Amino acid sequence: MDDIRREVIDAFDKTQAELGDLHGVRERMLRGAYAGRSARRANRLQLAAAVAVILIAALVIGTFVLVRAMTQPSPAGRVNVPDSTPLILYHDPTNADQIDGVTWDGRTSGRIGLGGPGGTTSNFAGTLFATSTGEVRDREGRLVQSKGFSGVWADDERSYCFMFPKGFVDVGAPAILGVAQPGKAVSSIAQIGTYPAVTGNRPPPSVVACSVENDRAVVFQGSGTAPNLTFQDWVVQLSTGRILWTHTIKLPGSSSIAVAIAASHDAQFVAESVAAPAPSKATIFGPDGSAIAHLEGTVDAFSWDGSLAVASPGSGSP
Amino acid sequence: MTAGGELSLREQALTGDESAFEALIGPLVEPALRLAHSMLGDRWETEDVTQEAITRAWRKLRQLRQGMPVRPWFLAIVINQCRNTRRTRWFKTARIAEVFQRPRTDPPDIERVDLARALARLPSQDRQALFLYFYLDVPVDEVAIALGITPSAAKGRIYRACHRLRPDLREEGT
Repeated sequence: MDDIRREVIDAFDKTQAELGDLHGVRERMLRGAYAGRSARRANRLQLAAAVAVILIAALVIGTFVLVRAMTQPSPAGRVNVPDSTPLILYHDPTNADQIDGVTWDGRTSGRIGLGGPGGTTSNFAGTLFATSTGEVRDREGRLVQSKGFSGVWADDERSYCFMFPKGFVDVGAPAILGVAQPGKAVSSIAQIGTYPAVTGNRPPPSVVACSVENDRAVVFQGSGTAPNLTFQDWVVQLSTGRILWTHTIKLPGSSSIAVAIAASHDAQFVAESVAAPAPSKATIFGPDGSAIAHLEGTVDAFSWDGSLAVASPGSGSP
Repeated sequence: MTAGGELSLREQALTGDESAFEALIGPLVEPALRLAHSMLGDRWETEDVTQEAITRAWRKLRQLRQGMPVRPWFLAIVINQCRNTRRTRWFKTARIAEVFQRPRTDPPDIERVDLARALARLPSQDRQALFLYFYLDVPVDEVAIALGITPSAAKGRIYRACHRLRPDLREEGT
């Protein structure tokens, strides 16, 4: 047995040599995980914003879907509606790896494809969805992009906005706002924020809203080290890269600060919520960056037309 | 690292303490990279998968049951992530085989080349078991958790894999 152990280890050693020097990889991986966690939080906010498009209908349909899922087995067949019919995509309650879809009236539902249990981000109409491994697939399950999706879907149902480091350095590098369509070339829009330095351990900038239709995107980043934390959001014109307006929140003197940013899908309205230290307070900014409303609580999402905001009293759910 | 220590770190990590999470998962990053590479054979894909596994571990920390060792739990996440990736990357299997068959400049040890090729031909689940048991020196109980099978099934899988590599092997010592 010792012989076979040595031989097997030798054989694996040869393939492992391809992996090369792993010095520094561990730290990079862990930093990436923390950054990914922040990005996912931002993505969840965007998903919440999409669901809030018609909040009341979503609540009704959500309840319907939940009750249906609890009382019936998973849909057996593929969903059979044309691409022009919007769908709500969701993880199958009995198999998290499977993505199901339901029309907004709740009358038609079915299987879409496999999305991986790690989470799925669909565009607003549910015609494309990205899996946690960065793949993008269409409703038929066809692979549209093999990897690399990150960020936020745009309202043209094809494009998405995302942040990436300039050059190959992933820490301390300028961050670039990019727009792409699955499987197509990336357009670099503007430099917004910076990827955190090695010792900073702060999240990189992330996209909050992406509107190709309205030629705008919203980007947010927290930076600094407690007790001197700074949070900044930018509203950027996609066609020119021009920063239309930016706002900075400086909250010195506290190490337990929670700031949340929400934006309407067209990037016209931006809400900055400071959830901690209590009490939670939110400010809503209009298209030109002027404050148009103040409220107690946290703004979680906007309605599709931007006329309504979903707010919660603390930092939790509405 | 004791189970009690892991639990304590887990509880700290659950509160968002990154240093606790790093103490818990950090030592497992290199084994995870090596395991992922043994399954995928591509450096960049290996890093992507490991990165995703760490992120998932962070998010799924609550699923780490009391008393369950961290290593096999995390390696199971890595394996599942690799399987998900490989599901749509069938061509990687061919690439792994190519690695074993790459021409060498130094005189080949025929027996070991044969064993490397035999390893490449093993079913992936058998190869994973061997990699965990021999290369990462993971005990059979943890191999079982990582692969989602019973300890006796893990032991049997390791034995059968060894037997396929060297038919004259006897069971003793596995």
